[in-house]
Amino acid sequence: MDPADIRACQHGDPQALARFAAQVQGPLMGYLCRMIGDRGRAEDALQETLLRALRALPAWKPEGSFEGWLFTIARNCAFDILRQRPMASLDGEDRPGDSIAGEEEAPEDRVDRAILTGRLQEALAGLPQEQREVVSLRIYGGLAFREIARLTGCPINTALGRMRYALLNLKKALTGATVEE
Amino acid sequence: MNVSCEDIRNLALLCAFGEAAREDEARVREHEAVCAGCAAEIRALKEGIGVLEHAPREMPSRETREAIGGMLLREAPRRAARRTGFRFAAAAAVLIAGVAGVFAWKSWKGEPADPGVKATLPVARGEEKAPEPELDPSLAWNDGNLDNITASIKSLAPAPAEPEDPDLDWFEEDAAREGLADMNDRLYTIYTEIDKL
Repeated sequence: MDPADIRACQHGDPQALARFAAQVQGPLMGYLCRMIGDRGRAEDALQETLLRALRALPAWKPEGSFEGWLFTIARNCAFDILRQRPMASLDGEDRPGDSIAGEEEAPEDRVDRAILTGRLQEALAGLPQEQREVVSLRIYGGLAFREIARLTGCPINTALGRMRYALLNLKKALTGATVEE
Repeated sequence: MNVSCEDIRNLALLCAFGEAAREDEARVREHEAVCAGCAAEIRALKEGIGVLEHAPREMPSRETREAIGGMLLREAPRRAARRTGFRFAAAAAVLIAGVAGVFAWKSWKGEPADPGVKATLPVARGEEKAPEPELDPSLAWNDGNLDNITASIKSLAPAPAEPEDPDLDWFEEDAAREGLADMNDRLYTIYTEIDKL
């Protein structure tokens, strides 16, 4: 996020806060869906994340990245919800990505994309939690691996190793091979 | 420097995501040229990264987006008002403490607490002393009890136009306009003026 926007949010500027919410809700939702595995509970976690972020925002200092701070809050919310009830699989009739797929695509491309997206979603859900988290923080949060390592409390080589195994497992899952731990 | 295959594969991942230094990229290329195992894994990693481009993108439902909008509406004014509210609350606290202090001061001096003290406050501004107001029976609260004093201040505040309350008006308006700056000095001046009487 733009530092000027962050400062405006810290001073309670309603327009900046609306921009902030619009920018972060998609990435946070992606991360929370992958971590929680249930769309309804992910939406609850999203609201809780934004509420906690809004209340903690005035005290935020630019010592680390803003995204890292925000996803740390989201991670805490996700684990709070997972502690209440472990991960479930996403409801198949409400495929994420359906509402996002580009409308300019040809119909057959959209079908291919939806199939691939659906399979990838299942493959992601089949990953061990540590691997799924690193992948989600990278693709939805856009966090650097050093930041991911800090956020998840592990050495950077561990974060990189988790990402490597996640990528190899995803590739194997999508090509029909056995998924390795 | 001798680098293990594990390190090279981690470096290759950093390279693929654009987080590695140029010298690390060169090191990975050199190793890839002589190590078939690493070359194969790096190819697989790049294919995996390509697959991630199809990762499902998510947006919250309309209901949740509306709930978030409502939350922003609730939180933003509260946050914006927090500072102002704090200043007014602090000004009110100073006002109450100041008036209570006046009466405590008078009691300590051995003089009976007197509602007429209110009329002496303009002296602090160098203005002519206001005419002595008639003793209002409702001002029988002047017994040194802080609860009674506080309750009476609250009852006086909504009627600022009444001639017997000019001092309270002055103080509140100044507190609102100038915040708390110099309020301690003003209170000290008031105490000094009262002491002279």
